[in-house]
Amino acid sequence: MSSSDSNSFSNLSTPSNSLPTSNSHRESLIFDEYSGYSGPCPACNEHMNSIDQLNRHLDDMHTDTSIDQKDGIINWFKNAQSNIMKPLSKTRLNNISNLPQFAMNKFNEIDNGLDQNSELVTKAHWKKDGENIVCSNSTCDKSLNIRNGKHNCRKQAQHDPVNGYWCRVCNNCFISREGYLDTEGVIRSHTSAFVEFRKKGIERTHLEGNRLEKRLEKLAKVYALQVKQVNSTQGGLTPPLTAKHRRRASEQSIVKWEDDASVTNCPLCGTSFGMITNRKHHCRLCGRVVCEKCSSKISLNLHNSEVADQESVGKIRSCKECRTAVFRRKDYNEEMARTPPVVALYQQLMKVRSTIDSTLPKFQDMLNMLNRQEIVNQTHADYQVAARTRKELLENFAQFDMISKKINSLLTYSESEKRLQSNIHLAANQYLQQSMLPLSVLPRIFKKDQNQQAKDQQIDDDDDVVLAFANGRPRSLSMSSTKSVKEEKQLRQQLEAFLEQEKNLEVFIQEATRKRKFDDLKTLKISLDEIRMEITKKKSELGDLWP
Amino acid sequence: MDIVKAVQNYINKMVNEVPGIKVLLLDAETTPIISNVMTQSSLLSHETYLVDRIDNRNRDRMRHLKCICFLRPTNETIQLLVEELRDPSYGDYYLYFSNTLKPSLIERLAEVDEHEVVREVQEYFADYCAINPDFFSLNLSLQQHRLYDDSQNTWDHKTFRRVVEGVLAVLLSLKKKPLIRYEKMSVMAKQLATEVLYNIQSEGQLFDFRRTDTPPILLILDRRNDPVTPLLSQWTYQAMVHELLGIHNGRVDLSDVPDIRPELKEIVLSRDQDPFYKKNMYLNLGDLGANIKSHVEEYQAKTKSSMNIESIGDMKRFLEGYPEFRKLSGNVGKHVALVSELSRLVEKENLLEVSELEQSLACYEQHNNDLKSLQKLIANPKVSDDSKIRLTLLYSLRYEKSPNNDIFSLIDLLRHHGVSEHKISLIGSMLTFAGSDQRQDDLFSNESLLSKGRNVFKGLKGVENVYTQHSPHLSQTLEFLIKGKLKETSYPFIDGSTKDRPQDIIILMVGGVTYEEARYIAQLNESTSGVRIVLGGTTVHNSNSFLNEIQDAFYRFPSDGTGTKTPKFGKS
Repeated sequence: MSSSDSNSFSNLSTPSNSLPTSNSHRESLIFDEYSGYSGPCPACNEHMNSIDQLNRHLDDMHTDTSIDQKDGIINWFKNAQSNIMKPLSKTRLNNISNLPQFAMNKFNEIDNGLDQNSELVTKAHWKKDGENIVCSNSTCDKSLNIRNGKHNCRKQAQHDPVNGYWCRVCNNCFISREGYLDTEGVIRSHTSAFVEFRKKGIERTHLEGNRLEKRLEKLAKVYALQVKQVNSTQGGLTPPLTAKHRRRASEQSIVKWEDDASVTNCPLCGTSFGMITNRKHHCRLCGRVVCEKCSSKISLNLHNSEVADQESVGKIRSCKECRTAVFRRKDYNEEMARTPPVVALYQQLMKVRSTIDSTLPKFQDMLNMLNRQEIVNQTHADYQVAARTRKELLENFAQFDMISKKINSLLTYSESEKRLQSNIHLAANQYLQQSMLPLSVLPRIFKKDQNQQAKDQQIDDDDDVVLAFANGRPRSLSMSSTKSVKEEKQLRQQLEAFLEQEKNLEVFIQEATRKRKFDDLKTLKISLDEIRMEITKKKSELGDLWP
Repeated sequence: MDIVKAVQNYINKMVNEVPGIKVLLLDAETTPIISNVMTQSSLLSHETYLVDRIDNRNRDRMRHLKCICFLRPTNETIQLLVEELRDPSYGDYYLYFSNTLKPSLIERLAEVDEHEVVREVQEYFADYCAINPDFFSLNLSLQQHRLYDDSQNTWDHKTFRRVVEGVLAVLLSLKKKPLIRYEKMSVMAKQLATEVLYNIQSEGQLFDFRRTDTPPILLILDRRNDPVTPLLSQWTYQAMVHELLGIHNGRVDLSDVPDIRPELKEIVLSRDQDPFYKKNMYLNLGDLGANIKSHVEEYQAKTKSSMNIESIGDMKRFLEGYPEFRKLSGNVGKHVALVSELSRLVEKENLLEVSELEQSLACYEQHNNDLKSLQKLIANPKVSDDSKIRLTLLYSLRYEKSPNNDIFSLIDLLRHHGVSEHKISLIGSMLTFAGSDQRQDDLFSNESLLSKGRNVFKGLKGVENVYTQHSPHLSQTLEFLIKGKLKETSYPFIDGSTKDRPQDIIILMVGGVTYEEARYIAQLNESTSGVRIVLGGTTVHNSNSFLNEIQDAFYRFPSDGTGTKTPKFGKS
């Protein structure tokens, strides 16, 4: 019995719910509360490792015990229970319910030997018990006492859900089990199967394409020959009809034509043929009969597909399917080769972005260093390096912004292109807003310095650029004659922001005059002028849209 | 067990796989899956500059773009994809399917890929709408997916397939191979449990996960065991918005609100993007009001600070915070508008009074009082017809078996006050649908002496808030399940069994869940350590959609169709 499966869950603490349902109510009540036990069976003195095991043992072996024996068992239980309670209440078996930071877990059990278990889960790492200790969970600082109960985490053993047995661990160990906080779902790839399937099909279509290409070549040769013959017999009286007949014969020698009479409907679109309205045509490449709509003329070149600009030797009729089969690769390659300007610009954009991404953290480091050392002196070497990097970055940002604007203003014919471009622009602005904020930290350091020296308008200008970017408002908008609602809204918002700024500035100026801070007043007035200029510009841009 | 993260991970993986300009191609069902967990700006930041629908036939050809397809492998979308691959609009295709692909489908797609544009074919099991980290919906709307076929015990075949796939996707995205338990009385739950088990077993490779300490539990419940919860007025933010206005894929339509500002006609409620919403979604209207107030004050404080800026530097710094500031102000406006609309509706429809009676009907057995208040409210012209019906439904459900119930006279009273026959017919339908003979558990605790006693005891404990006394029936079931004491006789395992206390629980409610239950689960997750619960349903109901579904079903059911004028109300 001691080597049965259930043993692996024993000894330290057994979940109360693992009792067999067949237990009487009375017994399970006792077990529910005090589940750690090891000792002999009261009826036959066989050694038991856990209450659980004992319980099952009682069920299996002693179900027919007479009543007074059962009473004996109960009494024995009561004794055992009080015995268990005394030594263990401190560290091992307290009620879990009011201790949210603890939970159960299973740990490894090597060799199944239960005696080894107690060695495996040692107390060596246990924190010393003492007065006034508090729960080591960072979010809970209850003091640990008899009422709250204390537990030591048995984490030094390996977690093993297969052969392990239940142990009490702390919340941290509980959630740090492998895979417990995993949020990556299952993924299954069918790519290789897909490619395998595709390979077969592709070979077939390639073969078909090649076959048709060969035919096309042959037809071209035949045509060229006939053109030559016609040219050579120019003066003769070859009636055009015979030429046509002869050509048809040669065409049919290459591809066998389908019999007209057997076809009543076009095999491609299903419309029925008529004598006059919907006439039958033979595809010169596959020989099938198709209707006018499903066929078209393709020009014949002597050296098919390879060379583009060569003289055509004639035209033949081909059905839709053969046409795509013959020209598939050519068309596709041509289309792939045509890269619209947005791609090139986007590549540039990404290049600039990657430079920014690589310099920005460096700049951040410099800033941190400057901040730490409180360097405000402009002549300091570190400061100058930082300023230079900042300038570089600013240039990059400006370039980035320029490219993104260029992308936005590219002329396009399709709605999707337009949406694509404006979305790239939008994303670029998002990126600018995010990554330019740290740049504005340096000006603050600059500023300290600047206030002392009260000069250097240059940096202020830079500041405006930074701010404009950071707010996602380009400083000057390129004008387009047709304004979308969105643009108008954007303009309006900008204008409103500027007006607010103007109002604030006016208040500041009044205050400065009152306090006679003339130095401040001067800079304030310059800013006010700038902002007013900006406002008039914006107003003119909005035109009569502005009330 | 964070399903929002699970879905986000899938999507991030999709859009991160390939660098360069990308277009994301979706279908009708994957669009809400993505829009529930991703914003446009997060897609933009992954170079996904265009999002389009595969059923949009007017897409322009842009061969210089790479195309990420995220599609449900249904016949319709596969057909659309076949057409797309025959004449590809984009350069490269990366195909991601939200569920398992049959080999025949792969072959079919491979056959048409003559241009060799497909680079990847993968299954990413994000096949459900993750609303909260512990709450999902399969998003089956009545229009596209009917739940019931020709009786309240039979699945609509197509919907059944969808639900099975949805459940499997949830399990796969969470990497769980559960033991399945179901509600014994529910034929549909059992059928679903059996089918899910069958699929798990036949997809053994997919479900090959690391062993867990205790097997996770998939518990399949039936709405019919608790028809009360979706009928109640709600007072917590998320639930209330859904009950009164409706949340559809994270969006709330406010266009019917009087004097609404144009930019607030449709608003987005997103936990991820809106910290205020995240903080308040489970709070009741009173607490919410207080928080909104402080939110507005915070906003005002920020506005005011712009007034006493002392230098240009200060002002600039203020403007540096401008994007943040503008976001905040937009947020304030949104929540103020939403909450004021909620309170307007509450006022207009006398919902406080209605809710008080609802709670009394849902929680306590006091027939005479309830009847009197109900008669009073039915006579009240300020109370909407829908509320009257809901109250009468609650009354009928609770006192169905009570010998002195007065359902007939209530129906006459409803008629007398101009409630349409169409709506009144719901009372009969509801009792056939989820009357006490249909329910497995003692929902009102009024069926046995023991539970009656418990009920009285519950009443003595006192209540914090009259309007939120009710706790969904799910809470009882879960309480037992967590303790490992849920009876196998009423919630059997479909295969295998365990006595261990579960650590991970996934619940699926056939027939729809409610936000009240979502809130309960969120609180339970918060307060119970060591146990994680995810709740989901075939849809998220409010009272309106719940009643619509029943009505729709009963109009189609052959036997009970319209003959609801002679219901057998248990006046035995």
